[in-house]
This record gives sequence, C-alpha cells and structure tokens, in this order.
Amino acid sequence: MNFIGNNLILFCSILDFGKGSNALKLSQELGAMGGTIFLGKGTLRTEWLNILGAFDIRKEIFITIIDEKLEDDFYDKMSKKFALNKPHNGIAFSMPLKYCLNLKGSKYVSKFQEKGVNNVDYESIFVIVDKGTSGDVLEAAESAGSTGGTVIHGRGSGTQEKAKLFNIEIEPEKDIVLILSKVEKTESIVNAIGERLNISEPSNGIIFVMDVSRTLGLYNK
Amino acid sequence: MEGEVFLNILLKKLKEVSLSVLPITVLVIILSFTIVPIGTETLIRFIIGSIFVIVGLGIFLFGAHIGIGPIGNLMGETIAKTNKVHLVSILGFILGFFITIAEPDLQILAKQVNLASGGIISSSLILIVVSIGVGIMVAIGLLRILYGKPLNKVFTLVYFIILILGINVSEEFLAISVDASGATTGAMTTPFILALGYGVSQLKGGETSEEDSFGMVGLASAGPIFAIMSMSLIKGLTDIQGEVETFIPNTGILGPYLRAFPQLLKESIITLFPLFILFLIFDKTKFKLNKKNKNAILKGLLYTYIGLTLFLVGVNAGFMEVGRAMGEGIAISYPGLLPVVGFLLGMVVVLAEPAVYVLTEQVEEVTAGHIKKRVILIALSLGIAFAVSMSMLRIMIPSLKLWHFLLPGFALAAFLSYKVPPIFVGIAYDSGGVASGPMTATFVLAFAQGAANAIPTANVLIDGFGVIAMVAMTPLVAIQVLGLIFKIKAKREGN
Repeated sequence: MNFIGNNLILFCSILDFGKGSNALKLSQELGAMGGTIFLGKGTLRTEWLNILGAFDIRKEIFITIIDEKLEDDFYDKMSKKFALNKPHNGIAFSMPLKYCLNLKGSKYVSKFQEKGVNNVDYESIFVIVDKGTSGDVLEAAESAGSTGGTVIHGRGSGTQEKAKLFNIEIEPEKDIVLILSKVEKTESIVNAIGERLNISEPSNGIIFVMDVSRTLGLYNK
Repeated sequence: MEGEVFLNILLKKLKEVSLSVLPITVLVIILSFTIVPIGTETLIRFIIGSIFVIVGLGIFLFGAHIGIGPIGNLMGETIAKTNKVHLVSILGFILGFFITIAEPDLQILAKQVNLASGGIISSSLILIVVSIGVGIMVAIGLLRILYGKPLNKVFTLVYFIILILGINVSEEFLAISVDASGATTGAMTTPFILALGYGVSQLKGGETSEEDSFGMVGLASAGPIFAIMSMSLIKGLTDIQGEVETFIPNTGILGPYLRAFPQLLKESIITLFPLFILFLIFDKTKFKLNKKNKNAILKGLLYTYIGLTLFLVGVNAGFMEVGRAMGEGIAISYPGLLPVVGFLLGMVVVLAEPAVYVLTEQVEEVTAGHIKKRVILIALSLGIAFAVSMSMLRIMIPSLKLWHFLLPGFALAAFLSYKVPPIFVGIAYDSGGVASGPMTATFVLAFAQGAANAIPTANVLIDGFGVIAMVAMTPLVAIQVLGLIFKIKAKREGN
C-alpha cells in the first residue's frame, strides 16, 4: 500500500465498449492498484438515428482509486490514449474520497469535523468484492444499521490478480455495492463489512466512503 | 455534426462486421489463386456474395438488436410473470412450435427426408413433428430456469435418451436428425430463443440468473433430434432410398443473384411472419407498448428482414458453389490436403455466423465483460476447425464412422458439464446450436458434399449430413474446455 496517509480520489471514465480493459491496464501502468469496470448503455440522439430507430451504444464505466498526486498524470495519459479531448470518444471525471479501507488503514474511524460545514448527514459507502459475496456485504451492513443497498455487476482486478488466456487478460467478476448511510452509522457499517469479509487481507475487496451533498428518497425505519 | 456522428457509428459497425466476414473471404481468395482455381466467374460471384453478406449481416444485427432481442426479452418476462406451470409450458410450446415451423431450412430438410424415406413420410408431417419437438424443449427449458434445475443434469438426461434412440436408428437417420437440429436453430430463431431465456432469467433473478441466461438454444436444438429419431423408429424406417438433389452449376455472374433474390425475399418473410404475429398478439394483450417503443421494434423486424435476405442471398448465390467447388477441386488434385483446408475453412467460417455474434455479445453483457467475446470466438473457431477437419478424414477413410466421433464427443461433453462453472455449460450447448447456422451449414455442407462427390468410396448423402452433426458437437467440448481453463486459472490466482 504505497500511499498511506495521502488524499485519495476516485477516477472515473466512461468509454466505448471494449476499451475498459485498456483503461484498466493503462491505469495500472500509471500506478493505480487496480480498477473496476461495469457496463452501461449510452444513447445518442441524432435526427438520422431517430428515423432509423432507437440506437443505444454499449459503454464501459471504469473506476479506480488513485492518489491525488497521480491525478494530473492520469488525465493527461487517459486523454491521450482515448482521445478524450475530441467529442464522442468518452469522458472522464474524478471525485475526492473521504476514506478508503484496505488502501489505507485497517479500521475506519469517523472524522466528524466536516459535520456542520454542510448539513447533510449521509455518506455513501462503496464496497467492491468478488462476485457472489454481495449478500454477505448487505447482511453485515444491515446488522450494523444500514437500511439497504444496491448491487452493480462488474469486473475488475487488483495487482494480485493476473490470469491470461490466449494473451487476453481474464478479469474476475465483481459486485459493487452502494450503500447510503447516516454519518454516525458509517463507522460501524464499514467496520462490520470489513470484518465480515476479512478485508485487511489482500484480494478480499475494498471499501471506500464518499461525501454526499444531498439525498432524496431515503427514509428511516 | 450530427451527420458526422451518425456516419462514424455506421462505419464502426461496418468495420466490426467486415472483420468477421473478411477472414473467410480472404482465405477463399488465397486458396483459389494457389491450390484450387475455381474460375473467374465463380470468384467474382463470391466476392459480390461477401459484400452482400457483410451488408446483410450488419443490417440484420442492428435489427436483431432493436427488434428480435426486445421481443424475446419481453415475452420471456411476460411468460415468467404468469408464474403458473401450465401457462409457462403452453406459451413456451406455442412459441417454440411457431418459430420452428416457418424456418425455411427445415422445409428444405423436410423435402429431403420425404425423398429419403421413399415418400412414406410426408413433408408436412416432418415439419409438424420437428416443431412439436422444439416446442416441447422450449417449454422444458423455461420450466428448468424457473425451477432452478441444473443444466448439466438436464442435458445429460436429454442426451442419454437421444443415445438410446440413436442406437436403434440407422446411421442415415442419425445424420438426418442431427442435421434437423442444425436447420431449426437458424439465424432468426437463435437470437429470439436466446433473448427469451435471458428475459426469463432476468425476471427470476437470484444467484443463478447469470448461468440461467444460457442453455435454451441448446435444449431447443435437441428437440428435432428427438422428434426425427422417434418418428423413424415408430415408422420403422431403416434405409434411405433417395439421393441428393442433382447439383446444377450456376452460370453467369448476376444470374444466380437474380434467381436467389425473389425466392429468399419470400422465404425470409415466412420466417419472420410468426414472430411478427406473436408480437402483435402479445403486445395487444400483455406488453401494451407505447407507440415509440412499438415502432422501434417493428422497425427492428423490418431491418431483420432486409438484413437476413441480403445475407442469405450472398450465402446462397455466392458462397455455396464456392464451397462445393473447393471441396471437389481439392479432393481431386490434393486429397491429402482436405483435412488441412477443412481446418482452415472451419476456423474462419464460424466467425461470419450471425447468431454467433448475438450469443457472444450476450455472454459479454451477462458477465459484465468477464468472459470476453474474443475468447469465446477463439474456442469456437478451433472447435469448428476440428469438426470440419475430422469430417474430411471420415469422408476419406470409409471405416471411420460418424458415431466414432459423436459418441465420445457427447460423452466427453456430458462429463465436462459436471466439472466446469455452470455458465459455460449453457454457453457451450448454445454454441452447438448457434455454430450450425446458415453460413456454416451452407458453406461447410457444400464443401463436404463436393469432397464426398469426388471421392469414390464416400457417400454424398451420409457424409454430407454428418458434417453438421460434427459442427454441432465440437463446440460443446471446446467451450467447456475453455470453462475448465477459466476455472483452473481462477483457482491458481486465488492462492
């Protein structure tokens, strides 16, 4: 874990289908520990396409966690590789992380200093684990007071995982679990998940927490 | 600007499709300038055919994407929602029955069997029997997903019964029945059945929804085998008396296209008609789509129709004769090279198969890109290459029988289905149905018949039919071996 104590950011890029693996490879060359890819659909609307019928284009969404110091280099290299400075080739954006388990320390201790700066009392917890273990994640989260979660199906790899077939890398399937939690509950939820999945061991997944500026539709039991 | 974006997308698609058709085109051109000259006229016709195939495939896939796929998904969801055994069975049966009975390939086959049985079995009886077979298997496939029965056990049972039947039927009918299964899983039915299974498994959800998305095509293509074998046993048919239609070489460059066009326009519309009617009925009673979505699907069906026609015209007018000429030419001048050329042709021909495209994209979508299209294509290519190559050996060596390959092949497939991750079982059996689609069936069959024609010890009818059986069998092994490798790699990585 190279960058203990630094500020981490979540780097995201939405690219045409098939380019996700290239982005993952590039980001590992640039110093990221790993990355996750999931599929999406983008719809392009032009007059012509509307006449022909709906036309959606398959997309891949690539996310990775990197040190803030790498951010400029990332934007530079990604933009070059996928020609992101030209329209319709894809987009990239990044967000600051509040905390990341397994890239940094092993127990999450909530820092309440930001409370009061904004009034929202929610945070978002992202958990990326091997496919099939999302049930455990949701269970552990619920036992610690979470009210629900959403699972996104994806694939990805860390540095430990490198298997090749016909020279094509096999990226294991992952589940991305998104949980919105009350700030005061985040600590116990994150730790409950971390313990259940033994996340301090390598290759068992990562958890990261991000600030949420507004929410809608969340109700307390 | 808008036009530019549109053009960009169109070019990207065209490039993608060209890449899957060009390998076979280039290989044939190289062969024709080196070991088997096929005549300038035939070659030009072949190149025109390739263009038809590329354009047709592109339009067809677009249509399948916005038309057939959504219809299949919606019907799957609707059927699953009824949540009643008898409704699921009846609806599954009706869908399977009607999309099969309209398949033009099946109608050709029915005529052939009619001839082969010396007129004892009428063509319409064969059509109905095979369609019932598919209907039953589609119903079983849907019930299997809903009740979570493991695919490997279902397939083992199905093929065990086929084995028992197969021992009792003559070799001719063994070949014909397997060929019927190739004929029913055509370019249009396969995407539809795939989407149907996907719709049901998506609605059911749960831990196994990923692996449940596959296997329907594999089950559906077992239906005709059952049906024809049972029929031949009940009617007590052992011998084949007919013969292959006499081959009339085409002349002229445009003539064959002009003849193929009206006929295939008619055939394609017959293929699509039941699906069109079923969609209208389902929409009226269940889906109740808004105008925009309904129009999109109807447009999709129209593109499927145009694309399928262009594709089939290209294959029939441009490819079939080349396949035959190559088989014959090589068998006469370099018989020893038959297995080698067969291997190469098998490798590239499957890439141009429309349903292969649809299947591999669904695999990528369901596994979020974990199992990549390219990996499946490589395994499939090798499998088909092996199938064609071995078929050539069988044509050359009379003592090698079809079952010498089929029996160990299917046995190995059944064994592997207990060793590999379940999703690969479904993909493998689906690939078997998908690989024996219109392109492979036409081109490879013509190649084998050409070779069998030139080799005195070979029987054009039996040896020709057997090729399709091989093409339907090898993907079961190839894809499951791939699954085994995946499993081993994943294990090693875990340690």
